[in-house]
Amino acid sequence: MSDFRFSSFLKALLLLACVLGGCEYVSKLDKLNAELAELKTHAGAARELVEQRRQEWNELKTAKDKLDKLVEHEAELIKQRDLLDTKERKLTVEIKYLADSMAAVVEKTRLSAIGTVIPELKLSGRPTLHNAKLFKFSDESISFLHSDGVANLKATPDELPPEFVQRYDLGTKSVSQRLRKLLKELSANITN
Amino acid sequence: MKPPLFLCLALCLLGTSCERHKELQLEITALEATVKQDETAIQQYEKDIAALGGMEALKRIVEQTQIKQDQLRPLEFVNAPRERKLSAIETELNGLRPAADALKAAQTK
Repeated sequence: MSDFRFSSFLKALLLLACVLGGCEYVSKLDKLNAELAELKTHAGAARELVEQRRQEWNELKTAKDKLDKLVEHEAELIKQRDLLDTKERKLTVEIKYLADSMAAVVEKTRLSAIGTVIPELKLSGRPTLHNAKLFKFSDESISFLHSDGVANLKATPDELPPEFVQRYDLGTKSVSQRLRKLLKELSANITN
Repeated sequence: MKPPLFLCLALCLLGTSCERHKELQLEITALEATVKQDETAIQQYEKDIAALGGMEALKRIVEQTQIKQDQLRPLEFVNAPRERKLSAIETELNGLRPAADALKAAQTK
């Protein structure tokens, strides 16, 4: 009788412990599940925010990189422009000096030649001149006085012997004229 | 003495519950680590964005880029033909120099 009572009491106690334990377990599990659910929501929000910030960062970085590249490119272009300015100034000085010195040399050569008499001067497409006296120079021609006529004769670079054209720097292909043309081209470059 | 059936059941239930509890704890720990990682990343991005002047700077940067592009276009357009022109002039000058020197030399003779 006493055994039976003890056994029943033990069983009831165990049953009570099981019920209480089960309740505790369910409560803990619910708490954990709630915590997990909240954490999942928080994690989702955090992930979204990371993506948003990443996009913003990429956008900003791309724009900044583009601007930096342009600034770098601008510096290169300005450097290139400055080099071209220097080159242009140097060329202008060189050409001007050469053109001036050439003009002086040619002028001196022409002046010293005036009055020179050439016994026989063969001109292209014209009869040979006898006792041709150099009378006047221009950039495009030489005028001669000669014993074959009263009027003076103006000979163009096409008619004159090549050594005359070269010595007196005549015609459109003369060094002086080409230098002047280069100077004009340069000044046109500056104003553009 | 045989163990009562409900005792076995209780022990079994206890074992299962411990297992489930452990699983949940692991899941929570992993998720917490991910959240922490994400939060660190957010902080880093925000720091980097702030270093570039914040998102408010984006509009200003885009405007500056447009202005810069407009400024560079004429420079790009002018430099290349100018370079070609000056090179051509330089080449021609170098070609003229011997003829000029020859004329000067002939004059000095």
